[in-house]
Amino acid sequence: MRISSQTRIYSKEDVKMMKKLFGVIAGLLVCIASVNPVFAEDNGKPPVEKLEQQFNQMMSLETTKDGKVKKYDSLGRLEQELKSIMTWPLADSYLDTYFYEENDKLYMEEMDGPLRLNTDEDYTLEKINDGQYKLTQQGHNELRDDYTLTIEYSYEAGKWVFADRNNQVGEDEYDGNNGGQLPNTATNLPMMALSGGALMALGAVGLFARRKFSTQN
Amino acid sequence: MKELATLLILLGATICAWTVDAWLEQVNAVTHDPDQVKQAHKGWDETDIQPTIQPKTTTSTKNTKDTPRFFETGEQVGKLEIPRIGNSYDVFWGTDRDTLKKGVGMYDSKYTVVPGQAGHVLLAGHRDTVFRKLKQVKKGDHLYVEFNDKTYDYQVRDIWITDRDDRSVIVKKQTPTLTLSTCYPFDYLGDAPKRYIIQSKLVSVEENNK
Repeated sequence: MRISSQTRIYSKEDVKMMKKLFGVIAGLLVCIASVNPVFAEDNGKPPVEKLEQQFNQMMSLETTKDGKVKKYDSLGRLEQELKSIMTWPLADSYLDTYFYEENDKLYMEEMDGPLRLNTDEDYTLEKINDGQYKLTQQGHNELRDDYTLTIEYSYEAGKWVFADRNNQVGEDEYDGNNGGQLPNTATNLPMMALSGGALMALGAVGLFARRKFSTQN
Repeated sequence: MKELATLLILLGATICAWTVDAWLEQVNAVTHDPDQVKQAHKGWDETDIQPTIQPKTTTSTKNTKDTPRFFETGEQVGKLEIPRIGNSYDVFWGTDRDTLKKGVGMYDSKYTVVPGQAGHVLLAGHRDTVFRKLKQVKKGDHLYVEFNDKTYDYQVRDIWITDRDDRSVIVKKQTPTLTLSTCYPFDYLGDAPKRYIIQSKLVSVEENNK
């Protein structure tokens, strides 16, 4: 009972204090949010090294001698994994470039892989906006001589992912069905030849008919 | 009656003569010399899949000295040789109607590049003249493109038939890719509804003066 009455006395004071405190805090938060709404949407920076490590793992998959990927057996499975660290256009582009399916198995193309970020060397990370960052690194190797690696990150569904790497997707929005029109490689030569032949035949029939008509008369 | 019939015969003969002339012009853009073409390219009959290589460029900018894009439409820009068929073709810039009358055309677009760049090169030709033997080319065969004093060796990776309105063929590629396109079916009269596509990847590059 004693404890209870003491509690009731303190509770009244506490409630008053708490009300005041909450009021001040709430006011402050409203004030900050209205003055600087970006604060509430700050997504931080992309986890460059962690994402790069995951990217390297997916682009350096263990294969058999004939190029068969050991860990995944279909493009669909790998696609799911890739889309966990990059946007779908980029994932589709990598799948199209470096992998193919044959006899229900997944194979890796025998070719040089994509440029990787050298995390031991300097790079610049530029903020485009709260949901986009761009990384740039200069490098040199035997295959490509001097090169520039660019990586674009975007904040999607609550996490940072790759949006593009060295224009793999390109400036235009990637759309597998939005490429160029195939050239018209049909000629009208066969039709022209047929038309010419038909006209000659018609003329010949006309001459023949005329001769027959004049012979009968 | 006689005059009309004679006129029809003359008109028909003129059309036939013009057709033969146009056909000969296009056929002459192809040199059929199997021995010479095969001799010129060692390893043309090695059909085991070889690794794709990247040319030593990283950008896809076309307007540079090394990768000229300042061609006039219809200008000859290189050669295509296909040892499997034994044919050598003159390649011209553009794929418009007039250019394709000359021979093989190199597609000019924002999706495509010229050989020597990491991207997509597309060559097109008429099925009933320059590319009428294209169906003899098989997976693993080599296609050689002479361009800008270099010979680019592409190996065929895929062959398929698609609709003429398919917009998924001529797209940007990160890897050096050569695509040949012609109409299909090969013996169709008039505007063929399909396209025959041969896609290949770059496997080696040689300087022509070596």
